[in-house]
Amino acid sequence: MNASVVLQGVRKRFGSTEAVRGIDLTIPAGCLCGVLGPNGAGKSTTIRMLMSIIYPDQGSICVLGSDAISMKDRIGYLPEERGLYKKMRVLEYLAYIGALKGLGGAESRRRSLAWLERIELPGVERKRCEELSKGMQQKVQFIAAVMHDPELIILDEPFSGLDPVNSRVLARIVTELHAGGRTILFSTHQMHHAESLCDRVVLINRGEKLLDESLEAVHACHRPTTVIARMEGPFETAAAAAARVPGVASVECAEDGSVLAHADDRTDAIDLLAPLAATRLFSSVSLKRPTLDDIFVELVTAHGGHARHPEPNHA
Amino acid sequence: MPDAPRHAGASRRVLSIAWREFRTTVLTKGFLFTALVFPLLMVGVSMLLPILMATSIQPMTGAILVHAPTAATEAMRAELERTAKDPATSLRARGERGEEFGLDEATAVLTPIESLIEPIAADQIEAAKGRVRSGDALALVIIPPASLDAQAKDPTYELFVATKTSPKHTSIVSRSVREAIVRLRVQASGADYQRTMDLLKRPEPNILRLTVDGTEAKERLEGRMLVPGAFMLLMWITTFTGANYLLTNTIEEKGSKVIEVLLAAVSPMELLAGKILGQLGSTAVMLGMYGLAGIAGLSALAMMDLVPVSSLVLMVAFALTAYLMIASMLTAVGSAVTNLQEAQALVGPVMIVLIVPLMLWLPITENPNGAFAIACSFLPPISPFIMVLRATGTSEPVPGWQVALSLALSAASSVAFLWLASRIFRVGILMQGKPPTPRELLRWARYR
Repeated sequence: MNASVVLQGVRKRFGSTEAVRGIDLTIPAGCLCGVLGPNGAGKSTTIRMLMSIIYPDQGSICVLGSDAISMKDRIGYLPEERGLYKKMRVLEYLAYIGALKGLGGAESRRRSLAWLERIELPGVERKRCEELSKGMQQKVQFIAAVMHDPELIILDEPFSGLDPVNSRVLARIVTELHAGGRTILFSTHQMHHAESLCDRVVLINRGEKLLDESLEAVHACHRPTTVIARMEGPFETAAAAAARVPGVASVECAEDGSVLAHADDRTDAIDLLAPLAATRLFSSVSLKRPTLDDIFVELVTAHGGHARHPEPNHA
Repeated sequence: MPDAPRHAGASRRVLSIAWREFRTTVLTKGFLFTALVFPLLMVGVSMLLPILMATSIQPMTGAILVHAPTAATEAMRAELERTAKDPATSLRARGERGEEFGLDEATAVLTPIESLIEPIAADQIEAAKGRVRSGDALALVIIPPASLDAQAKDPTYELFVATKTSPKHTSIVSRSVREAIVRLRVQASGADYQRTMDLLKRPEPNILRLTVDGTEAKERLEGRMLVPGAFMLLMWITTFTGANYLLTNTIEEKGSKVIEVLLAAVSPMELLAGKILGQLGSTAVMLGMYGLAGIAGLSALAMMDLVPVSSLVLMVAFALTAYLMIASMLTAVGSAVTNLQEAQALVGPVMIVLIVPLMLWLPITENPNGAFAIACSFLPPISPFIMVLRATGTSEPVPGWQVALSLALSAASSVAFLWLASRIFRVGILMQGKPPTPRELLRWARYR
């Protein structure tokens, strides 16, 4: 397997807080990987170490076969702490970042204009960065991260602060870049983005890796434990009937009024489908697949809840 | 497989950062004023100064009431007329006799004199005082006859002026009275006044400086004292201004969170090097502009031989080391704090050290080879300033080995300061929260 990123036993401590605790991680080339975790879990610290902005206390990091310092021109990075030169014009700023990434002046400008068009920000190239809205600034920063056509793109919370329309634009571009062969690693705590975009997820909590699987494997490992039963009669009657089915631990009312029947620890939810259908009180019965959100909450709760230590002030 | 981006070398990245740093600093109104307009303004003002001063001098008008023996009154009238007719000669004659006078009295020679002497009787003295007080007359002079006696040990006279009377005008009247009394006393002794004055003339040395290029130039002792100080001050102002731009720009980049974007593209060392190099450019522009203005001034005063090329080369070399040391310190501070208020606490100790050369200007210029001066010229970060003070003066030659050793030590210290700053910068630039103490800064330098 050709790996873009390999972390082995990486640890990082800030004073008394151990932000990253021995993470091992391998991201295959061409993968679109979501790094999930609650606030303060260690996602940004891990990413900063990937970028050689800070260094691990222990362990090794290999990015594109080397360290990130020597591979910076082949990596695109959108940091969580976003910043622009407020007084600089958009095109001037992008050209400057392009120059730092090894692009010539004319090429930088050509790519900047093309990207502004592609990300639906036409006509802002002459504006000063401070004149743009927060969402527009974020899109400009995204362009700065990808305009040099990197092999590996690392996006730290790329969707935070974006409205739904701009989130969709960004998600579309991320999908296109992935389809174009780029390896993309992005951190988020918004599960629906990870679920809709990623083909692999890594879950970090309290500086430890709790999950590192393809999305299919995650769903396969987390089998359904609930059956959705839609009824035609009153809820109370249907719920009482469902509760009497052997193997049902509890029932509750779903948002759409359906009955949610939860299997007990000894019963597979799939084994509840037939008995529930046999009650003839329901028009349909189906398995409720756990969302990534459900799996996230389950794993984090089992791991002792959310990270309690605040995001460290010092890098 | 995506297209491989063109590989940009570290030097190209450093130059890109330096160019941006230079451009954003130099193309600001503040810099343009400081580096271009201000030196031009200085040259302009120095050229216009005589005109401005001349037009601001008020002519001396109003009657001078005199109660004195007739001879004294007439002598005073004659003296005033002589001064009015040829003030410079009058002043020079007194100077030749060894009299010393202040700038105020010296500039009084430019004052047009339109006042007339008006003799008064003893019973008119009180009324005369009233006229002076009300502004109807310029002054009242009372010369007792005893003051004209050649044997008088402490000749004196009284001069009454109004509160609003110009000190220049008071000085002119007072001088006329003194000259008149002296003239009459000399005559009373039977001596010839002009001959006596000629005898009192002190010989003025014509000091000529034999320059290395074989010419002779008029010696100006004050220039020899001022030139090293001017060199040091020029170096101090320009290096500190450049380093201060670094401090504020670094704080701004950190505050606007753009630093992490930059660190995604370049290493902290490349960023630091680019920033320091860029501001070195703006410092060089300032040094060049002020230096050219100074050279133009010295050239106009025919004092260019006081500034040999070797002094200019030395100043540039020491200015470079001074800039690197100050810039390193201020960039490290800028990377560690989040705003200017926080920076003040850390810049304070740096400033105290950097003010030392300014305080030592005169003592070191007067005694450039004293033990203290020698010791200070090997003590970074003040060594470049002290050695420039010593080496660019022409009063006492400084041994060549001391200049070379000081330059070597300053250069080595610059490298050490840069290394330390890069260690602090690497850690500090990503720090948020409360500012570090100096001890914490040193601990950062040891971080992996």
